[in-house]
Amino acid sequence: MKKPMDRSGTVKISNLQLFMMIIATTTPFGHFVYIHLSYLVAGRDAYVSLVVGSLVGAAIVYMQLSLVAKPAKYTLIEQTQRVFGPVFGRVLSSFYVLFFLLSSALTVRILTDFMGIILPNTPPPLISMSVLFLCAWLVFAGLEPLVRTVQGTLPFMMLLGIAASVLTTPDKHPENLLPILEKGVVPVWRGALIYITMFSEWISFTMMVSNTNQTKRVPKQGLMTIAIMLLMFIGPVTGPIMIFGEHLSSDTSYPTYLEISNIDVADFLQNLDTIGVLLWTVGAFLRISTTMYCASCGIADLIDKKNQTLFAFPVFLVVEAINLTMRQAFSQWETFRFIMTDYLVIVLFISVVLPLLTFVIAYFRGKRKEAAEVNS
Amino acid sequence: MKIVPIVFLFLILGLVLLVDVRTLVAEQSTKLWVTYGFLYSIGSLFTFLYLLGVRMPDLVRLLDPYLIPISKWLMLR
Repeated sequence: MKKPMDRSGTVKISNLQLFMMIIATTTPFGHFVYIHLSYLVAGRDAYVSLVVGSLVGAAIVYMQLSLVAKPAKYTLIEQTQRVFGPVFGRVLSSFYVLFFLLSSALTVRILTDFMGIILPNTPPPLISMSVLFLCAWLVFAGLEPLVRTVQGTLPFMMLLGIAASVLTTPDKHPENLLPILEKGVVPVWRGALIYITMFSEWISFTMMVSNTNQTKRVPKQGLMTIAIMLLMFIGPVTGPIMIFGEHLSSDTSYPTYLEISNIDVADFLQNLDTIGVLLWTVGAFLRISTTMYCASCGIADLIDKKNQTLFAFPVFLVVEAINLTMRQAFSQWETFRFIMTDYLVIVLFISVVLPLLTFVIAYFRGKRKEAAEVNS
Repeated sequence: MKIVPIVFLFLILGLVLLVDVRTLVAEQSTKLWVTYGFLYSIGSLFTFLYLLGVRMPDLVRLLDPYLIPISKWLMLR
């Protein structure tokens, strides 16, 4: 059985820092991308999908975090190798690494499209390379600078987000949310799957759980974080529908951005597009950096290297390559469609099926070991 | 051909290689050399081909035969 890697001298982060990182990477991307996608499939019932998705997501997140929190010394990749053996375990683990790379590339792709609105004359590869290079530099600097960046930016991002939500309150018409479940349960289920995907993507953070101070408490705190996320999403999910109605919200690529752009208070607080751009770019930057860090850690674990940031720059090049192939293959609309269909299946396989299988095998092995110890 | 991104990519690659060569020399590990070589060749090859305007195979679409039936079963299509 694989022995835990000697991690003496590696960076320790607090549980709060881990969950701040989860919130900072999930929220902006969720607000700008997943909310729009849930409008496309669930329409005005998107908030029902959010509640259903959060409940199912809570179970998935608890399972994912428990998988690495109970042994406490292993990352996801090491735990997979420990359960499935060095060869088959490495094959399965490489799926996780590929997923982290795909997730980064997808975020870069969407961010580049969004930046294209503001910088229409700049070639998209230049934008993506610049962003990725900065992310790679942060990853190369290590976990602590990454966490400190999150700590520095998250409070401002949350304040701006709450302010935007409060400032749009006068324009909101709650009657736009009615009737509930007009088109039945299927659209709500499809919308819920989008939010389940969002929570399932937290599999990335199982690469960092072994770096936390109180590892065993992580799964329960994960459930609390889901509750916080639900509160942070309910406003942005209902906001655009209450202001613009179901159809306009669904037809717009970035409905929450449109909501922020339309803030108009006392004739002087207007056109706050920059807040939207700031929230989205900083959030996307943190998300890309985190997934790239996980990919770098994953590759280091696959070849048994202790230094987790060794592969920051090679990962940067591979992510850029995937991003460019995707740019060639998909238009902006096709990228969204890819997330709603194929990506969702990939995420469910990588983040639910594989960890669940690992979790079940590890659980029964643990039980058998306990029984053997009692008998002897 | 996209000249500006290509020049920019060369600049970045130069800087990155400087950092990574130092790491490779310090680590003295064959596994590390092989992994670096693999990742650098995949990454730079695809990036350069794109920037040179060469049409590449759509890697993500290769999974379609496996993903479409599952997404239909999940009522996503």
